[in-house]
Amino acid sequence: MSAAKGLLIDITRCIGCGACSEACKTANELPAEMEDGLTADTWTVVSERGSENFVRDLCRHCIEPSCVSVCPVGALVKRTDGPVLYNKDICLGCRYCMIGCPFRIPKFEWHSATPRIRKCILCAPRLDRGLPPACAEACPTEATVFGDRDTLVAAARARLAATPDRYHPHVYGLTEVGGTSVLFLSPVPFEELDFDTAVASFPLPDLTWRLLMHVPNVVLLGAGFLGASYWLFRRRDEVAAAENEPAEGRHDAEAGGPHV
Amino acid sequence: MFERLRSSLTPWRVLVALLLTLAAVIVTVRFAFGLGSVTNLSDETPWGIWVGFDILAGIGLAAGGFIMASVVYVFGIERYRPLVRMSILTALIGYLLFITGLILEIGRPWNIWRCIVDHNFHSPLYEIAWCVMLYTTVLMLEFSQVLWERLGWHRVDRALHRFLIPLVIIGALLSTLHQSTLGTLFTIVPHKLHPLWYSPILPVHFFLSCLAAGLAMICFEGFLSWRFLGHPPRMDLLPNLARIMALILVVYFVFRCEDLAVRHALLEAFRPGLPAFLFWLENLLFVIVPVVVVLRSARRMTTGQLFVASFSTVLGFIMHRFNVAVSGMQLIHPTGYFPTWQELVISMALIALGFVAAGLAIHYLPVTRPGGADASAGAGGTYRLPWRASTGGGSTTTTRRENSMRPDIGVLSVLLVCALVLPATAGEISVPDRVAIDELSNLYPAVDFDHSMHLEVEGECTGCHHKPFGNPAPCVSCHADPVAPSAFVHELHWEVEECTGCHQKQAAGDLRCVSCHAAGLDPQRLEVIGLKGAYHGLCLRCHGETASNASCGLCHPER
Ligand code: SF4
Ligand code: SF4
Repeated sequence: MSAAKGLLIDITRCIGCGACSEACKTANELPAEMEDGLTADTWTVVSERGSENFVRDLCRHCIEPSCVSVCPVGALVKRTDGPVLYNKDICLGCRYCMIGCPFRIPKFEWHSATPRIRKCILCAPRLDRGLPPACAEACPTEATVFGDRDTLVAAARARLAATPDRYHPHVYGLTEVGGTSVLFLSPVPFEELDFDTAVASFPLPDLTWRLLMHVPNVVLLGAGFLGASYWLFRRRDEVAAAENEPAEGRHDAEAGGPHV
Repeated sequence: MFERLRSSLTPWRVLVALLLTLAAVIVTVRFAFGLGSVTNLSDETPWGIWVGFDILAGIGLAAGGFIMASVVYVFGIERYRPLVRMSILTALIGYLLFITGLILEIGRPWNIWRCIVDHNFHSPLYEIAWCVMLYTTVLMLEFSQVLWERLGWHRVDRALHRFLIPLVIIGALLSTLHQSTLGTLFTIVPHKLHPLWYSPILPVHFFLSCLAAGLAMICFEGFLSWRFLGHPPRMDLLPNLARIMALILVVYFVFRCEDLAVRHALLEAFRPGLPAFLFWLENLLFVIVPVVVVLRSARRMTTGQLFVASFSTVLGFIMHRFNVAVSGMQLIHPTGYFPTWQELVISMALIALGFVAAGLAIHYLPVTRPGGADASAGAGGTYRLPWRASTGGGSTTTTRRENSMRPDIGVLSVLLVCALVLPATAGEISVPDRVAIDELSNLYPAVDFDHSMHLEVEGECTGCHHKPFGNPAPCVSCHADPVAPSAFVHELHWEVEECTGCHQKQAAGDLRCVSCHAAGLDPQRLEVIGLKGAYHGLCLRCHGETASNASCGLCHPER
């Protein structure tokens, strides 16, 4: 089993050339037209946010992805080496993954009769061939680098330690939603670059699981409660009936009842 | 022939026919050109009115089926029997419409059967899919009784009757599960849903509110079938249901407010603006109007009052579901979504379809007859207890419970207690009265710290202990709350500690300051303030301001 891979995106190094998004289009055979934000056909974009800061948007390949957790049929899966992948053949098109993703990443083919969910796949087919994702290979300034996530974390920390005045002292993605495979370094606080800094620092699927894990309890307790109630009230009515009815009627009732 | 056709063409029927034709066209376009061609849904707003209204609200309003079935068959409150069939019918129609709506809503409906073979136990939607499948089957079986009766297949009827009680119980369990899990759907988006609607225990809100909505729908239907079919509403039974509904609503509202308060979000409801407006409008319709109407009606409720109370609840309920699924998300991330006319037509067509189905069923099947006994016999008519049904309506057994409110009040007090106690237990944490600060006793004598007094002065734990993320939240959000997420600020910690460093300590129950802030400053971790610095910094933050209070002797006794 190969180690978990990831990307480290250093916003201080990005010059906004867009080589990554173009390489993505080519590698994934997407329509070449570049759109302003992520769409079903554009899986990563570079946009200027704040002044002179260029930010890439893409699937973060969360370590415990909400999208994978919410998908009712498991059409999305997290591979141990990092990528979160989609299988259209079992997808229902319910779009819960779009709702669930904390970073609003999955996109949908709204104008197709056979719509799919589309998003960055961390170039899984390239990884299989031992190649880095196309974006990391294309980046001229090494603003996006690819590697083992652990190595990337160490590198990020080293950069923060070596030149602290260059960076906002935080690696975005290290702990956000329990950690993501894609990490960011920024010269300014992340909220200034429209990053959601209010996301929780634990895996979001915990929130639903801590409720869903009680399903068996609800079933058992509920069945016990309802069963007991039925038995109790039935007994009461039987007693009442027995007291009210003549002997023959009671006999009748007993013989006919399905639960006697 | 022509005359007959003309006489059957009432304006209502024409309208419904037009609506359904239009809907058929829209459906065709939707399947040919995708969801985007008829809806305003987008990558920004993946779920719209079809989810909020047709699915979330629709299922909730159909809760009457399992409620009435349980009330009569399980709890044996016989006097409500005349309402059972009708509410099961409504539920069945509701679920069938829901499934129809779902097929239109999801992008790849031909894969819908995949839920059966591809499992993801972590997905709330997976659970809902299974429950809805099973519950619709249960409803069909429950309702099929009417069919067998009509066809005169008494043997099938009897065979089914044998399994009626288990069926009802299974139905109630399935309903409890998926009605609440519809709320669980949204627990995974804490930062995408407005705090006035988000709650980590959203399923409890959903369950309580569906109970009220189910009852409201039964009352409302009573009114409708009077208006459209000329069946007089059961004014001997429905007002009681409305009263129970009002009580549940009060419980729900208290619970909701308490939940908001615990999460420090109650203030949002009083901050002028759209969120507060939506919140109050929703609760005005859902809770306040119906409760006031029911209270004012005192002993005798008029049909008008019944109508206002139930209709208001239905509207407010729909609004709640819509606020959770759509508006509450828009408040955080406005996308300007507003349904297209096509989306509205489809939603209306589904309602119309419901009416048509209900009308046909009532016309052709013995729905309004309470399980063999004639509805017109009224409250004093013949009842059959389910386990004695095959004796054939001979017994006129009435029990004490039939004419008393007592069981209702009993159930409700349990509910009320739950509503009051649940959030309270969620907030339970053991707070020490005094704490001996003695980790540094090699440097200083132990400090006898009056924890209670400081807590009183500071008001909340987070005044001194680490603050959780975002708004101040009580310690319980990390340490003792069985439901809320852990909200500890990792941001401050990852740079100085490997994850396992803290988590192993935490797992071992070691939450002492010293487990992270080393007693002697750790040269390997210069970023972490040492214990000495941490304590002194904390104390001096307040005591330093008033010099007289800052003397060493205040805490440290002479050696
Ligand atoms: S960023 Fe969103 S789509 Fe990507 S893995 Fe995380 S939850 Fe899934
Ligand atoms: S749209 Fe498809 S991939 Fe997304 S949650 Fe639904 S079934 Fe899963």
